[in-house]
Amino acid sequence: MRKILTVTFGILTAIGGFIDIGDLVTDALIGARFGLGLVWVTILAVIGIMTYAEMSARVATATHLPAFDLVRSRVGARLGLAATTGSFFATFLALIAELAGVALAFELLTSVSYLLFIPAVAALMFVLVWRIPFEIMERIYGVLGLALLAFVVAVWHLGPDWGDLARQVTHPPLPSGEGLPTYFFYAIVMLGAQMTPYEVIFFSSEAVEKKWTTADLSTARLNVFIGFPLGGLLAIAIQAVAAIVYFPLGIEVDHLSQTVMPVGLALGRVGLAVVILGVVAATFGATLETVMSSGYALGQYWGWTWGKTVERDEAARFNTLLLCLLVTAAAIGLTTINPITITIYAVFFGAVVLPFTYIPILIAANDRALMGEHVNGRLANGLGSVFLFVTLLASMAALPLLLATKAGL
Amino acid sequence: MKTWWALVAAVLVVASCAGPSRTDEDYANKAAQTAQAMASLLETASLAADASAGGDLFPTFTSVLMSEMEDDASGVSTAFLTRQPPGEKADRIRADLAPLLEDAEAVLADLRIAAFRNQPDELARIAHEIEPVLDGLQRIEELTAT
Amino acid sequence: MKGDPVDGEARERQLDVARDLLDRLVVDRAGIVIGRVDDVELSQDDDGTLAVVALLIGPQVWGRRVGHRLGRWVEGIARQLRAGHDPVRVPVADVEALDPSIVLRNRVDDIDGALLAERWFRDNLIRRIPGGTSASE
Repeated sequence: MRKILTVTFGILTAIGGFIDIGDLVTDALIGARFGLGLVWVTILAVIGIMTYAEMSARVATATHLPAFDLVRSRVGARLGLAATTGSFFATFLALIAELAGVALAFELLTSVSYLLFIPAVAALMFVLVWRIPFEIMERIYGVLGLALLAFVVAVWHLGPDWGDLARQVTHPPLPSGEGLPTYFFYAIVMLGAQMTPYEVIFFSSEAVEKKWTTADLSTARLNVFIGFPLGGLLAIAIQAVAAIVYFPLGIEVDHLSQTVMPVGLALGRVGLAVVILGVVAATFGATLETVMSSGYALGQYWGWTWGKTVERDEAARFNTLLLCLLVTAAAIGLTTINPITITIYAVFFGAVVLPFTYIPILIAANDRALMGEHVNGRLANGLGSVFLFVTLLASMAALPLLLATKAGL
Repeated sequence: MKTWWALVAAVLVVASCAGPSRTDEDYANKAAQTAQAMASLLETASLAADASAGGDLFPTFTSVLMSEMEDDASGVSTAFLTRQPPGEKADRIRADLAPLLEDAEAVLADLRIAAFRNQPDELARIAHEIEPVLDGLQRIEELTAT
Repeated sequence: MKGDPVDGEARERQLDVARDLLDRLVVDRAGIVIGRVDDVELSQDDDGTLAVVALLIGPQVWGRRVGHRLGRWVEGIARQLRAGHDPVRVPVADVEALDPSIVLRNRVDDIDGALLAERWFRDNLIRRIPGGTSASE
């Protein structure tokens, strides 16, 4: 019975956990601009993240070592440093964005400026990291994140022309004034939003913290193989409501309020309130994951004692880092820098560093001496190589496209 | 390695510079973009106003959204009006667009106030004023689009 | 890079320093993480054979190995912050096991200069925050 609960919670958490501020912003922005013309990226991203999340969980359970521990010992100090700092920086940008995201969601509920919520949320975050056990937190925001399913319900209620939507998926529309470079720029942005580096860091570090063994691998796989596709469905729903409401009118999405408004249009006040609570839960969970992952990345590279399950004073450097990250992220958020802009840059930079996070995992998962019987099989290697290639391509094309399209203007 | 970074930095700087509109064509393009951006804000506000009047959106939400639309409109308007029209044709475009931008900002301001005061009937009434401004902006878009 | 005897006894063992030693986690007898092998100290016999004499741990050492401007900068800062303490040096005689992490025979408290930064943050920051001191102290 307990196992069923664990598995259920794991899946539920994975669904809402898939969505963070990056998704909420980019899915709506892209749905408004290209309709459902980039859904193929979501499908690709879901398969990619499933491949690497499973791989990193398998490595973590077989070796009891998390992702960035292996980065340094497999790839060496210099290349490991590049991978670590790249992932750290991308995750830190994401942290600032997620923190602002929680604040923005509270603003929508209370009309109090989001700037006032930033320090409050950061402080609450620290208290949670300091005092509350992992499991309880995860379950709470995991279940509350399901409120985001309001997006799926909203799609239904809006009663769209399904044929038209289907056509957008298979024959991506390029509205007048949009060029192919812009289309592919946003494809990369969406890839970065849905395949985040911190996902893999968090997942593998968590597996080690919870002391999972290979016996827990099936649980991890269920979480990944059921949870992530459902999360992808959520992401498509966010694109869809924007495609239904904004795309025909040529409306540009620049605010979180615009992301959620279609749910209000479809389901009324209650629907709107529910979905915003879902946003709070999802961004809250993501704030936690990004701060922990930033700490994990650095702590694991430098060989510190790290983790939530160790005593605070036994992981002093790690906890100090978490505190500093929260303070710094809050400070940056308070400079009134546009949260949407930070989000776009965070996911964009995430897309750039993604292959560097994945390469060490693929290398470690192929090391028979390390992995024993859990070494990568043909499927894992096949998919792993394909997606490494895809992310490398995206990473290389990212900067040129950014310049060519002036960041998608 | 260093030269590559310098090159990237240089390109970024150049790309981000909003230079003066050198030709009438540049100006016309900018006008079209501005009209489109403003129209987008008005459309969003219109959707929100109607939905709010119909009870689908709660007051704090509408209030925040209208503020955001108004702030964006101010930015869009300023960015365009501070540009020097390079020639006669540009002057005419400016003469057509400027009052529309002003009207748009006025409508959005009214909407923001009505939302703040939680006056759904007012929202519905002001929403009717959006239509003519939208039409005007659309005309500009069509006329000046390349 | 190959090295010969890895511990004081006559047991000879070929190992690839880069793969088996460098950048590995080092833990003490109780399982407490000391750091990573940031560099190794080698000695050279008369006939030219290299042997690993000690493991070196710390950002100071790391900076020196990594080199370039960043490495030298880190090395400089670490040296200043450590104010006179030599880098952490673990003689190979103290190594108990190599896989998957390097396990030592002794306790971290017996190792000179280990965990300076960790303890500094623990005493000056973490323990000053309510809830920072664990019950096991």
